[in-house]
Amino acid sequence: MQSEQKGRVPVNDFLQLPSSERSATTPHVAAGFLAAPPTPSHTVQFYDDDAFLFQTVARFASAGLAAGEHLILIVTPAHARGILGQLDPQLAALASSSGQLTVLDARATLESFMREGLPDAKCFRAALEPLLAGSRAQSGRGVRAFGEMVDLLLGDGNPEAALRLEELWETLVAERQISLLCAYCSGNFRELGDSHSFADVCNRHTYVIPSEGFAGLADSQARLREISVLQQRARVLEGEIRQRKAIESALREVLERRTHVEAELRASLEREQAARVRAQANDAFKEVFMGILGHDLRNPLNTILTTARLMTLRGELLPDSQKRLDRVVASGVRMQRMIEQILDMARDRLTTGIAVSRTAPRDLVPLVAKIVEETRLAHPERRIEVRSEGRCHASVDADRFEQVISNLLGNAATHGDPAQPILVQLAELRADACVSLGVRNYGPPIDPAFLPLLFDPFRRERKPEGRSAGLGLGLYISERIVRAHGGTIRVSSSEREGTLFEAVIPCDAPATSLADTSSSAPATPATEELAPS
Amino acid sequence: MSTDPAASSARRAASTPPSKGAAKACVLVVDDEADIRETLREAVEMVGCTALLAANGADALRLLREREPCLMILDLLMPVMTGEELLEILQKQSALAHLRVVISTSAPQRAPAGIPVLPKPIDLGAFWAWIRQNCHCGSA
Repeated sequence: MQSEQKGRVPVNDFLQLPSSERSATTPHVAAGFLAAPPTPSHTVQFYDDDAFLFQTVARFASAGLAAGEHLILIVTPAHARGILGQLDPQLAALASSSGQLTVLDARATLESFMREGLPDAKCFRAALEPLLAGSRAQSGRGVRAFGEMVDLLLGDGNPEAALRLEELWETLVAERQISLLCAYCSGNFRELGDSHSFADVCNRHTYVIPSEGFAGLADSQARLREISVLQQRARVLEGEIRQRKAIESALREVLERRTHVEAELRASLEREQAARVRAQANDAFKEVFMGILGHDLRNPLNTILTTARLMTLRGELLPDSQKRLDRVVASGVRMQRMIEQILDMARDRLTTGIAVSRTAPRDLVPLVAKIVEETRLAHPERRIEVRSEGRCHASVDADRFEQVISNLLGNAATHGDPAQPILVQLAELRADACVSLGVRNYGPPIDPAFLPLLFDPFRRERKPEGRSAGLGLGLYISERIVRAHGGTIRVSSSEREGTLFEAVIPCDAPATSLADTSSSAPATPATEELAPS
Repeated sequence: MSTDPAASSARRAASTPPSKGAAKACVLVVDDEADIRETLREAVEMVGCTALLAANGADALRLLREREPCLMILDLLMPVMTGEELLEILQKQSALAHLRVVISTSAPQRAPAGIPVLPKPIDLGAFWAWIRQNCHCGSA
């Protein structure tokens, strides 16, 4: 039966060791227990160093052999050598030859009953029960066994199999009334998560013996001191774990915040990209819109007006037809003015603003005289008085400034009292380095509530009687032009003083303003617009 | 202002009857609007000149290779070749020494410097005055 045992190790190979390999015997807290363990008992010995393990198992084995008990060692070849090396060679040789001592290879025995990573109960029994039964029958006394298959499983990273094997051993120990000593290398419980496995291992055994750090101490005083040190170290470690957990939680929080910030950034980037796409679409729309206003709408109107004027110039029309054609032209001119106003508003609202290209300071009196002359032609019934004070020179965009004068004068001619003159006054404001243009009419005063809205392009006012001269954008555009010159425009109105619009513009353009306007709308000082002849 | 200043100045110009000269092709009208071209042709003929018509800069360039007008009224914004592009080519060819140009445009502020401008809608009186002042072939 014994000769059929799988993995049996020839004991004699390990008994010829020189005595120098035996280490000096160290004290053991459970020396007495190991020499005579209760039956049945299932004891675990933890160890750090192999030499301590060898001595411990040798105590257990020697006492058993001396008592005539049967001894079974299920160990690795290296540990077989170490343990047997600690035994009395004569005693061991005798026990081996008489069959009192059986040594099995732990790995080979383990493999004989492991199935799919776990010990199989039937195979375990099949492997060990005959040996135990035979041993008891043979010795007639007790059986003690030392095994380290569970430690091998734990070292393999298979704690579940180790615990399962302990359970199988437990049953066998009770059934066969044996004293079983297990050993675990403390190094197999190094990680924080191993605490549960360690507790389980302890619970599976009847007796637990600590490793040599405690068990190997000489006396009870030293052991008490060691316990105190270990307790303190455990507290420190617990504190450290708490601290690490706090740090870990803080780190996790920081990471979460960072993830959140990153998500915010991504969202903001997406919003910005969407806005850019919208802005591009807007820009494209503006370009098309400005193109329609600036070119597509004006072209046919230009053709209508030029052709109608040509018809007039040819002088071929009967007087009645000529009158009708004049109405076509007048309406066309109004339409032209409205398109210009919408175009100016679109420039102001949709682009960088109404561009003005200011030239070097020039006398504003001739500009005013020119527009006054045009207004007189348009409103021959109106009396217009022009005055100027001081040196009225300023840096202006002549076309745009004329547009302002024309608007203010046109309004005065439309709304003023026909019996009273329209007063146009240019004045140098030397202290402020400005020039003021005032246009006063003596029409009915403007409702004070309405005054602040006069320059608002979207104000709603009652449509005046007769034909509308435009869209009511004239004052708004004038204000934008004056502002583009760095100036201001204001209005006051009363029964006694009449209605006065006063534009004040600085004599000199700031250097930056000149540069700005020249980049967006190049000044063309050399361009000569042909004056109507 | 209900009257049309351009029309009134044109009326004044019309009061001086256009001079009738030999019908020579002396004014090149370049505009992408066919109706404007026709109106300007008529206006040119009213001062006794003959007009050549081109719908864009490229057409004008072709005509200028075959004929030698002494005046050109030029629109700016046109398909195929704009007025600015045509002027650039003519300047490189030094053709502007013999050809006098007036620009007719709805956006006078965008006209290149150094060339007279007739804002649209064109004041025909001013156009005629310009023809008379600048024609050097003796037609006007």
